[in-house]
Amino acid sequence: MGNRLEGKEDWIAEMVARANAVQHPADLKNRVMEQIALKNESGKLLAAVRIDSFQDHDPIDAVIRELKPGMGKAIYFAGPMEEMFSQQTNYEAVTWEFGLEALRERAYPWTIYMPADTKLKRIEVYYGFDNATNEEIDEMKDESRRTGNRVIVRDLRPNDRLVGLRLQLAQDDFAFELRVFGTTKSRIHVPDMAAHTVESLKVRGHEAIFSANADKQQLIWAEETAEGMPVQYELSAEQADRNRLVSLAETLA
Amino acid sequence: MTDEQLAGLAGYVLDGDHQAFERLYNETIGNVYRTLYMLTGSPRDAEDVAQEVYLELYRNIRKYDGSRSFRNWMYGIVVRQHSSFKRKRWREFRKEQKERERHSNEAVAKPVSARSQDATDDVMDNLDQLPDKLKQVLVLRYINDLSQQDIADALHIPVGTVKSRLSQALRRMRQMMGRDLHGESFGR
Repeated sequence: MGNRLEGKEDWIAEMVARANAVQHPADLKNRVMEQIALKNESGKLLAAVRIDSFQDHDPIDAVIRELKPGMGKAIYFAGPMEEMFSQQTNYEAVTWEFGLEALRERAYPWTIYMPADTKLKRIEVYYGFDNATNEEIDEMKDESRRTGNRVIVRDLRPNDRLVGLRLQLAQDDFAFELRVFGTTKSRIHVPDMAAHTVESLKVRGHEAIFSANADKQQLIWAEETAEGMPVQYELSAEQADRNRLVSLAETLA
Repeated sequence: MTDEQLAGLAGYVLDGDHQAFERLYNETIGNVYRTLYMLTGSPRDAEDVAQEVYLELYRNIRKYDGSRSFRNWMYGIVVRQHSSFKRKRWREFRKEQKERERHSNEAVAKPVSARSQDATDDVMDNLDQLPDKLKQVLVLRYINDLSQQDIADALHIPVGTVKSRLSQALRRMRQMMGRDLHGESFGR
């Protein structure tokens, strides 16, 4: 009875054989290990960085790929079993012309650090988008039903809410940039996984990742504001080694 | 590696040892990926969900109770992430993709003969027809060799529910495979 089901039924044996023949891809390990949770000293998760490639077949990735800076899209998908709504944005860097102190005031409660002995060359900021309203989502659903189109895409309206900033900096001839984002998640898309390396380490007492390829090196970590809001910092440069970025991060004040 | 050894590795991960996490991955990925492949029927989907499984495992390792089975805890994450994936994904697109992959991805699963390929395709097709809750207990029982009690622990459901789901899963699979065994009982 039970014995017959302990592998003796042909279809169960076939199922087990099929499973035993399955082998995980070798490069999966890189992708898994590159997903690093950034935590503070008490272990609280501040941000998650996921590095992965665009998937050619994925319709959301297809929309993201088409997003130019300054564009945000609301996407409604009517599947046969379920419906889904998603918002995707690509923030545009806008020049900030009011100086660092005004930016610090505007960006509060984020702390905008500056590395020691650094020349500030340019400030840019990123503004957010309004979420689609329930009415707009309903309209997208109606449009889908009316037209038979399973995927409906609409523009999101940009607003003046500060969501991030970028400081272009230099120490003598060494150019680098510091980006600050008030977000709890970050998703870095890397087009060539094989040419991309990631290492986890500690910076300023926080868990951090160093990611690098031939063109760009980046150090990412997250800190908390006095109110407990997570803020993500990214130091990046072209042709910089890991130690140089770590040293820069440690001198931020 | 034994369940106790895996639990020990989890302790090292808790202490911030990133190499321990890598070892934990090395020791578990075979079973995790195999399980996800059987649940999703697609190598690409299995890879996507596996990434989420290890991200959740890493994030929530503090919640792991070292006195309990690490494998059961991990399979709970696997099933939870599979369910979450199914809710989120764009099913229609994936189904088409899955069909293409199943017939083209020879590197993932190599059958011993053309005839057995036909048979396993039937199994995979029929498995795909099962509701997720039934498919999950079937896979955990026969692919991962978990007892009904282990499955109950992993999924946080009563053993009676596991038995019921397993019974339904077996009955439906037999019907689909054309091998109705006329209500035979089972157990463990």
